[in-house]
Amino acid sequence: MVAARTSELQQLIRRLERGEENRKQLMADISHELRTPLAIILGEADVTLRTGGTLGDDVSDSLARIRDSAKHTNQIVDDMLTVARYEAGQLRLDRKQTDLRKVIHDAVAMFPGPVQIACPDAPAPALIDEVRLRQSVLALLQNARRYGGPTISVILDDRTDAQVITVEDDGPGLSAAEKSQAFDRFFRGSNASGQGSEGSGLGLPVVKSIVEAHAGSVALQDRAEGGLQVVLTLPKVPRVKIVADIDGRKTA
Amino acid sequence: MNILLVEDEVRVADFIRRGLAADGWSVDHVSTGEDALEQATSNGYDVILLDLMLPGIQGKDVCRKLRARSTKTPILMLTALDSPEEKVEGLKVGADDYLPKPFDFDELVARIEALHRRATGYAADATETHLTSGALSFDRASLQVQVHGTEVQLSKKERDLLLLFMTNSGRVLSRERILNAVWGLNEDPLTNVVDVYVGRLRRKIGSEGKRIVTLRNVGYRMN
Repeated sequence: MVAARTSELQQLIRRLERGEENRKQLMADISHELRTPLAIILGEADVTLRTGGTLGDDVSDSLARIRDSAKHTNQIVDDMLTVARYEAGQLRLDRKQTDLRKVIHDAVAMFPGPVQIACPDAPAPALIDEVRLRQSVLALLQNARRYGGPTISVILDDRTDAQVITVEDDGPGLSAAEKSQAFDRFFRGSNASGQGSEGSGLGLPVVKSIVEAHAGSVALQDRAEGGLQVVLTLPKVPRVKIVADIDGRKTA
Repeated sequence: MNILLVEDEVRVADFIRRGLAADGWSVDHVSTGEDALEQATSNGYDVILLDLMLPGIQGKDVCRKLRARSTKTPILMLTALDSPEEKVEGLKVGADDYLPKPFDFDELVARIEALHRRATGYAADATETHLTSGALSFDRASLQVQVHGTEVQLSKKERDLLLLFMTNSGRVLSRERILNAVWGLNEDPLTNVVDVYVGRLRRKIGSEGKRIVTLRNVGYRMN
């Protein structure tokens, strides 16, 4: 009796696991199959814009919108793939020792608006995928600009147990209900209506995937003076034990 | 320049051929790995554009076989598979560069030119330490920029941007191409950072700023 039940349960688990695998594979396949038609749409528009010197402004603008929409769609595909890869445990990170201050400064340099930066004077080295993390900080800056307030800050806090990057704005913030849904795919808060044409609805899920792949976490908090804080916490990798070598000098 | 395009998707091959022909390059198109091997060995091409997913012999095997026959023609792989492992794998089998689909056409042109320059050892631009263009002068060694003999203070990014314009004078540069060359970004971060910096650069170089023209929906060009 017990044996029969156990085997039934095992079968059920296997079926569920297979379903999950299929779902992830499907997402990767869809993303991949979309790239060729997108390449054609983008390429046709791009080549015509480059070679058609006599295009009227209307035609030229129309082609540019086609090209830009194809790019935007491709960005969504990229974001979906990042999330799908993370969920399938296949998001590869290219981790190297990097000063987090540099990551923050680089992200801010790519961001067109003013951003206040608060970083410690000392280097904050971390074993991270620089490109992915920079992408995350930039995505948070863009979210702050799109949905938040005009004053945007990035704060780096190098604690003993973790390194914490906070991106905050002085906008309307998010309600508790919105905070709990903000990491869902394609969720948009109430203040996003009508102005989200360039977003993918995948900003926070992508940031979450990248940060969690670094064994870190993402939290949304209210800023005391109003506005939203997005807090990325990267735990410090357990330090290699310090041992004394024969000469009594300390080496890692 | 003679280019061999190996691509089984006709509609992709079509726009690539038209776009490259408009730059005055001649393009031969084949759609299978077998044809690619035959064409590549019997004709001298400057650059081979190779799609990875082909019917019959796969792109990677074409690449491997060409290298085994000691064909030295630079190979640029094009593919809709963009995982980092694919890229590493492609370069391992002998490709020289890798461009994921969809791509910005300007980027494709820039990559082809870079491969060709590398293969022919022509790098005059890179060896010149002092560049001049109109009333602008740029010293690569001291990083000094002068307009009409007066020094202008530029940030690093502004300098990189000016250098890109000066070494590509008379050519159209798309925003993506600039983003890639100056910020090292392969993807569009959906910002107008390029426009902001071009605006700043124009103001800082005064009367010479007018030489950087905006081409509607295409990009910028320094005349």
